[in-house]
Amino acid sequence: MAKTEILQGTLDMIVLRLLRSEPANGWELTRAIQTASRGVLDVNYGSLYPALRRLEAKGWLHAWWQPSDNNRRARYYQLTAAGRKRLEVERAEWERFSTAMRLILEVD
Amino acid sequence: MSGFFRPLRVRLHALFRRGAVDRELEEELQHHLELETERNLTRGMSAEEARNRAQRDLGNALGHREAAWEAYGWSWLEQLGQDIRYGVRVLARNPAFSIVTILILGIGIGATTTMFAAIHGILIRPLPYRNPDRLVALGERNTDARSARSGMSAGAFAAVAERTRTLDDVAAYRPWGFDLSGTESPERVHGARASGNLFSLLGVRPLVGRTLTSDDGLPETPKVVLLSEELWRRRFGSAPRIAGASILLSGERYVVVGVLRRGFALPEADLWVPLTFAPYELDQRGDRSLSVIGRLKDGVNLDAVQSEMKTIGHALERDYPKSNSGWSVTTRSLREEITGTARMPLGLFFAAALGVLLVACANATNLFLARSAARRREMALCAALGASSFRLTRRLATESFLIVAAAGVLGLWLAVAGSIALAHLDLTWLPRNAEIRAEPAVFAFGIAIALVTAVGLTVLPARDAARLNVGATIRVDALQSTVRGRISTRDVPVIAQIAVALLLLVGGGLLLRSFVQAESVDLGFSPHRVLSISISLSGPQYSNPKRIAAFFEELRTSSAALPGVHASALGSHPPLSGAMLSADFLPQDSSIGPSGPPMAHLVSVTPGYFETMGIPVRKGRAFQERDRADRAPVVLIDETLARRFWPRGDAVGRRLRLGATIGADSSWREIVGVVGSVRSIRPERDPEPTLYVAHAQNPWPTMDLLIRTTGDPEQLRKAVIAAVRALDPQQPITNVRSLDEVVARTLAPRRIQMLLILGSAAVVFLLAVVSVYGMMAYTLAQRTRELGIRVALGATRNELIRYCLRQGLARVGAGVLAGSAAAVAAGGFLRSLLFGIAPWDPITFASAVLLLGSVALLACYLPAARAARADPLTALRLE
Repeated sequence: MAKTEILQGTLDMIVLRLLRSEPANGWELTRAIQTASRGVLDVNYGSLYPALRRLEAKGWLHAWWQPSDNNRRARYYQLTAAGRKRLEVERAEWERFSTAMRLILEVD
Repeated sequence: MSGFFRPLRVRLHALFRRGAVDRELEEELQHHLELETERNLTRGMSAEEARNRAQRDLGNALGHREAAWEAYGWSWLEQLGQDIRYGVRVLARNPAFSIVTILILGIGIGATTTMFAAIHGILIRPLPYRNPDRLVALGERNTDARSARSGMSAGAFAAVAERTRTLDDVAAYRPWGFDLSGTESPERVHGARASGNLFSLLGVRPLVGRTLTSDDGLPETPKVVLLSEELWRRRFGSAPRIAGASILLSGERYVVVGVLRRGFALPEADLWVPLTFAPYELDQRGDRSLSVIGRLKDGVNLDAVQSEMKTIGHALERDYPKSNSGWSVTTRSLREEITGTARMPLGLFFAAALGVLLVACANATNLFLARSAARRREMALCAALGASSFRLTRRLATESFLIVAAAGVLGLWLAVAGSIALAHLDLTWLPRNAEIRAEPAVFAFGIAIALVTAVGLTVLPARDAARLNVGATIRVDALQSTVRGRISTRDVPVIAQIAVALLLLVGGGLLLRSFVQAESVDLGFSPHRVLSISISLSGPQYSNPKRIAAFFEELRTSSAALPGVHASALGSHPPLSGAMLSADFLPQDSSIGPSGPPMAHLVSVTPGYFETMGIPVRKGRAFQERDRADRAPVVLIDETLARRFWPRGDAVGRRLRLGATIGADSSWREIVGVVGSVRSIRPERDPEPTLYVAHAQNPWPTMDLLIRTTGDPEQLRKAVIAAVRALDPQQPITNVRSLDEVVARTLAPRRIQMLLILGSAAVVFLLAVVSVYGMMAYTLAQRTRELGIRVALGATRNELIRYCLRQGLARVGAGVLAGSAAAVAAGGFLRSLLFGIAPWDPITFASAVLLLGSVALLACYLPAARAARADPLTALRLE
């Protein structure tokens, strides 16, 4: 199956969504994106890390260092309250956008 | 942590610990790499392949680092840093350009900010009293005469205090000299008599003890005095328990009640004693020497007070026609009273400083323009390599901001120094100058001025950069883009400079001519080589006027015997000394008119006064030894008075009677002579009618000893002081100075005004000429090829010079026209500062235009001649 590049601007939403239930480090996030999208979405790993920084700088994520499962030091990210709110906003926007897209595409 | 501060903290951390942030990212990527490699190994790749694959998937680590860094939003700061570093490098490469520009702008900013500090401290900041906007100053004005406002008489003051319904409270004061004696050397101090309620009316608090109150000075109470902080520190060593101490003032004991904080200036004095009026004093309405201050009642405005004072004035006129006919009571705000005279010179200085700044800006803009033109290729190259025109403009702006930042620091430093100097100079013509401070508002103004300057400096070069034709500029310095014959916006700085320079030259010229006129005016006396010393007698031993007369008579004799003395005499109120006494008088055979008795200045003098002062005796005789107290009283009049009352020249032998002002003397006096008139108030003011009485017949306790010397008067200083001390060591001596000094002092404000404006004019003139030269040199350098072609086509050298000159002179002419128009418009504004000259004085105008025009012509000619000399072939090959 062909892989799809992540649409510009949706990476933020994906990261926020994946962090909603529990904290994760960068590598876990790349794995989770591939798993959750059943291998369809391919994250450019390089763009993930700057994105994490951007979300952190905006106050939506909180980051700290802790040992990962394999006992290496890893940087973990967690959603802040502001991040949670942001996720709702992005999600609502996405719903509106995709509904509109569907309406347009299904017009005969 | 709150949701607002966390991002800020993260971003600040990124800003200040960039290394740590980079390392963290490095570690994070490393972590990713390792896990990915492990995963690849489990998928069956070889160790090397697994690692390479993971590397490739991760991509460009350096790029990620940049991207991650940008996520924190500090790139703009980084670019700014680059621009600043670049700007500093560019400016450091041209140190002469940078230093000259910084100096010029710094002086402009400094001058403007200093003048703002003066305006703020004097005109804007409220007076240092409680609710100062509710304070008014009252005075009397003779409605018939063109005379200025005068103070109030005790009678009028009492009437106002009693009848007013619009003022909460009214207080009066008058300056009064005291002799402070006791422990140390005796000293003449500036004191004041002030009604006790003055201090509560103004709302001032004492530093020590209490102020005066309305209960002070009542009969049967001890004499009390309030000291100034300055006197308390200087004379009494800041003794904390000064209240209750007793001091000796003019031979009488006073109890100190308190010390008044520095900064009180109503009036500026060393000490204050209560002002009270004896019943007969309240009936005096001719001596108008009280300063009167009132406080408006709540809800009352100045108009209401003015109309009420008009009514009171009319009532006084009706009740006391003899003294008050033709006089009205006037009111104006206390602020106007105190600072009204400062507005004009301050406005002028501020305008001049602004002119300097404007021209400095124009000059700097020119330098920037010339330089940005020279850097056209560099800019074009940057643009071709992808720099946006915004980025290029920002770079230019950064350079001008750097220059202005340095100039601003210099300017603010100058402003602080200037404010301190202004506050500490003894400027009698500038009220409240001690209150000038470099305060926050002044810094804010200076910074604002600097910002406006920086923006102003960027506009034209930035416009140039935005219009940059990249391709054409890189290919050749395209001829069409630089040739300019017609006047364009780029010439505005030069034209403005010339206009401002002409304006200031005309203004400075007018003030210079006024000063020369004032200095060379015939004063009516000869101040050269005359030493003047004030001596004031007080104490019980001088309560008898005969003793006073005897003391000064002895002093005259002993001082005349000193070596190097040509003539010596004493006078009670010599011209230009600042002291004057007005007296009413009545010539024989005339009656008091509707506007009261005539008034004249009154001076009590010893024999030899007119000879010493160099005042000519026109008719009759001067005072002589025989005009003693036991002889018939005599009087001398000056020509001004003689012309007014005896226009046929038959004054000598007539008689007149003096009013109540100088003792209760109303016997008839014979006019024994007519003397020349003197300008006694200011050199610029026409002589006032003056009466002279003989000191032996009318002694006065404060006299100026005047000594005409054969050599330098300063050399006699010590000997004369010793002569006074020999007669009575207890009596204070003040104002030991030459009459030349006294004259110079009265002209000091005019001199300072003139020097400041001429100084600004000189700076601006210089800058303007440099600009003209720079403009010509630059324009012609840009047109070398065109000129070369003209020469090749057969133009002679003279034709070429004429052609070049025409270009420059068009701009100079435009500037001169604009400047002349501005000078004509500003003429009316200057009028009140001029003396003996019209604000549109053609000679001044012509000289200014000629001076500026000829120097500007020269500034145009030099580059033109050089350009015309150039070999056409070289010129053509140059490109």
